Amino acid sequence: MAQKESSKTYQELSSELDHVLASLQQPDIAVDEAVKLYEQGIKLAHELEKHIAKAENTLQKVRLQLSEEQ
Amino acid sequence: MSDAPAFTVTEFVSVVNQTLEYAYANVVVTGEIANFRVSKNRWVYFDLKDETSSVRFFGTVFQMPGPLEDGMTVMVRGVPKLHPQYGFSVTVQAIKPTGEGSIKKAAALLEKKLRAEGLFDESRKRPLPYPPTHIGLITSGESAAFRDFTKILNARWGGVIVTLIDVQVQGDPASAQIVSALKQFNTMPEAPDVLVVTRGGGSADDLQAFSTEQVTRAVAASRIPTVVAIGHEVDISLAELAADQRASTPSNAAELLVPDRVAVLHHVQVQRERVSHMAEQVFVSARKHIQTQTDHLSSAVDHSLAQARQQLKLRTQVLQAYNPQTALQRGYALVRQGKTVLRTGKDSKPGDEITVQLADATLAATVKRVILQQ
Repeated sequence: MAQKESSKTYQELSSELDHVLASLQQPDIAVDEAVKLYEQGIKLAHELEKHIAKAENTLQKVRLQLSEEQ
Repeated sequence: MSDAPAFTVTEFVSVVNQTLEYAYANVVVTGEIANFRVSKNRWVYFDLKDETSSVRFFGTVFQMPGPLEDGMTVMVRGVPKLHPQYGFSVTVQAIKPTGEGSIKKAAALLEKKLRAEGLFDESRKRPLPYPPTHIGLITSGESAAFRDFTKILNARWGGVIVTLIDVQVQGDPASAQIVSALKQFNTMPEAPDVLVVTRGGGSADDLQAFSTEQVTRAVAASRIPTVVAIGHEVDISLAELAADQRASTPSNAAELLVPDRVAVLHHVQVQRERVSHMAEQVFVSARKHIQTQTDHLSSAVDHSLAQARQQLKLRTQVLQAYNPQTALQRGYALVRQGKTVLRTGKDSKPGDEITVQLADATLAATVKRVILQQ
């Protein structure tokens, strides 16, 4: 499951999180459902965080390589 | 009377002519022209005279050095002859003006005639190949002109083929030899791409060949561009006027024809430095441009990442706000009957087994009383 999620793009994960947030904010949501959605949202946020960190690492690597070449 | 030879008229004419041929097959007579006239554009009649005598001459226009007129002094080579009907005359073989005044006069008349024909028109001048690969040189091979020309040519520029046709550049045969050399070059299978007719300075008489009608016409008729370079100071010869380009001396002709390799090398060096400098400028500006682009790219990606982080932070905060656990920590509790979360007490009754979930524990409890709020 985790592997499957990590193969999703940032955009896909981001819109899933939007969806989770929208569902959580429904006024008549059941508490159990809210807990489930919350857990799902946290996972998604974590995945997104990993994506951003990975992008930052890549950027840093590219910059380092560039400065070594010059 | 009886001792004297007796002839018929025809016999007499014949004997006189034989005697003349024996004694004076050729004569050269100098005198002033009188009664000059041309008949049918072909036959020329005139008298040569001095203070006391006058002799008739007869020739063709083709033998004339150029236009002649009464009062000019000329030197005529010819054959004296007694004509059976028209009497004594000298048949012209060659004729040339003599004495400074007549030479100038003859030259002026010829120049006027050839100019009227358009031989000296600027529109006829062709550009010279620069530098040429093959030069046809017409001069005396023994002359200083030849040495000067080839010396300057080789000093300035190498690898030009020079073909010499050795001619006399003064005296009677000069004119015909120069004309023949011009024709020879023009009919060569691998003809030169430029011709140079040259000689050093000399007296007006020495340079006469370069102002004859034949040479001037041959220069004008050359299909190969022609330079005429006569080393004199004052008068310009007619051949020079007819040439595509004239030069003041043989050395000057060489200077006109080829560039100076030292100057060319210097020019190339200067150009090379300019190009190199320009290229450097291009690189510098290209580098600057790339740096600017890279900076833009870098800040764009930084901005986009920062935005993503900010957005994620906000959404995580929203997520936390909706976390049921947060509510429990504030003192709220989740009450379940079985697995169902109780949202209302309407269906509860005393004795019901329920669980109460707190932030850090779950309590098992029994309903004692149900108090419904108004």
